[in-house]
Amino acid sequence: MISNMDRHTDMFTYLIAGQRWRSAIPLPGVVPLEDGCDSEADIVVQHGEVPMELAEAEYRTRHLQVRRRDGLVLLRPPLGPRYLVGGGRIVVEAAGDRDLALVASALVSTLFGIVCYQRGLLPLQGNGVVVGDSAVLIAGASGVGKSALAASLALEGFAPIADGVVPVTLDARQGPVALPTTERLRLWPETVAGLGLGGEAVDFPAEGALRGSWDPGLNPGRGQRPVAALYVVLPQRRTDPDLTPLSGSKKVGLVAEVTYRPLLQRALGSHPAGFPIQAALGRRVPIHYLAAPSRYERLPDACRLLYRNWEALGIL
Amino acid sequence: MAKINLIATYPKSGTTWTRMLLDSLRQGGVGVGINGVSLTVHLSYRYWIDEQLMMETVDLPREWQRGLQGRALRALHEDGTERTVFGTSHAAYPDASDAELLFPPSTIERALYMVRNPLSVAPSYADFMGLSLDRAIDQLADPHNALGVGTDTRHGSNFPAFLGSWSRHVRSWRESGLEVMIVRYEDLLDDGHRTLTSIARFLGLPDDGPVVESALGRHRFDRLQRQEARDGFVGSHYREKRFFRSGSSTAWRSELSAPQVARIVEAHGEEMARYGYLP
Repeated sequence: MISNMDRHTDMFTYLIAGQRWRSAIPLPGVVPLEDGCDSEADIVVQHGEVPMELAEAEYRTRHLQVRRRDGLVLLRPPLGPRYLVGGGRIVVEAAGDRDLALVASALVSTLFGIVCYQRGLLPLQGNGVVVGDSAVLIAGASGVGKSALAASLALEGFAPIADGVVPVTLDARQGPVALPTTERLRLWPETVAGLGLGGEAVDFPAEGALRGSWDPGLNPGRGQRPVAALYVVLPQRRTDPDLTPLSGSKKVGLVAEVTYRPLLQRALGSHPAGFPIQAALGRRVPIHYLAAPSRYERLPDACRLLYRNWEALGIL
Repeated sequence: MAKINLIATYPKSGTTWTRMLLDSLRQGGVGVGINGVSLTVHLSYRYWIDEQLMMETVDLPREWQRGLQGRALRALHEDGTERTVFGTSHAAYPDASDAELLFPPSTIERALYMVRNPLSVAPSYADFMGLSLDRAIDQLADPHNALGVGTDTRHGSNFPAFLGSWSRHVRSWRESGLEVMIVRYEDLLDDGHRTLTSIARFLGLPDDGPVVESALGRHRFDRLQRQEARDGFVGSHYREKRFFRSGSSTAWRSELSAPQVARIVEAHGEEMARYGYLP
């Protein structure tokens, strides 16, 4: 009998945020490269033994331990798998189908966030779409409907470039730029149905995976894009979508709020690049609160609201 | 070890106002913007739970999520930093057998429970949730009432919070076995100085007279309403509606019909009598 673990002995190669990943475990919602096997990897994801404790860790909680002198991170979230991250390597100790579903989720969320911080990128909790030559970011807490809105925009031709976590860095010429991670979106079955995508358009690959992967087929390319606007989706539902612009110091504060897992940022030790990127986003990028609608049939209204805003900002 | 002080309320019982007052006390009585309260953590907030647990809980089936809130609280409690954390919750206190899943008793230092007359809660709850008054009254009496079950387009930015009926909610905290101080919202309105001073002492916050007076003065309802009109309130569900309504303890007399009052009294009379809420 072949288990799920046995099926994943091949290595998959991905290009994520300009870095080449080779992974023994498929990354959900990311398309593997066809030609990547011979190239050297920046990040290797492999199965192996992971200790229960990280010796000499300066930061130590129930689920996270960090040894700052060599940047090694031990992650042990509830429900099963453990991870050791550092030196361009993610070692995964997992057993069974449930663990694999958890690992797949962790690879494109917390583990990716750790890699971003270790490499001086600022991960924001959000999605990115291409508008003109720029990136527009839709940020906010998990479960507020960012991917549903990004999917609605993709149906109108605006290509996704990141889903869940958006890495941002500073470019000397362009200012804050978003680095593409994936052109696909991970969607729940109810979102697929609500948007009328049709089940056959969405790939639900792994057993236990709640979200399927949808490729809108828009091919945004792999280059970095200047961030032209940031929308922070409010957790509260509203009947009618609306935008509230922010100004001054509130903008920097809000960027800090949508920074991915701030606790990770603190535990890893503040990378010198982190604050300047937050400050540059707050200073140079228009930021709005976005109250998104609670029903799928009103998502096109939210899109139209954004188009009007993009026209006003001169990016559409 | 982080010490965790809970602020538990049925929805629309003065949670936001109390949070602002406590944050103001902590900072010596300064004005706290309605969108700038930083003292408290909402314990059902998925973003906070995910960060404590270092996992993406939206990717988990509902049955795997059981008990994760309690684990998040435990992670916070054991994070090695000596400090006091204020956490808010709308959930009813669970039965003893389930307490570890939601509020592990060993992590909680004490709890402040704000109780408000259900005759005032019902119209405010109806307005906030976008319900008719009769539907809101039904929900206040519903033993299965819960918050945060998500909407069409969201998987839910909060973990579901089981409320139960208003009566059961009050009783659950009173009988939780935790060190609980129960404060009537109406006393905070009518005798603010004395009530806020006692809350401050219970929670270990500054209780000097001028600080308490300043906190109350800077967070009067009319001021909060003006701030909301000027800046908006991000916690509001409906832009077209005010979050900070009257804050009054008597407005229900003109908002509820006699049959509606009778239904609320019939459902909650025993607990209402205990807190002096019978009309």
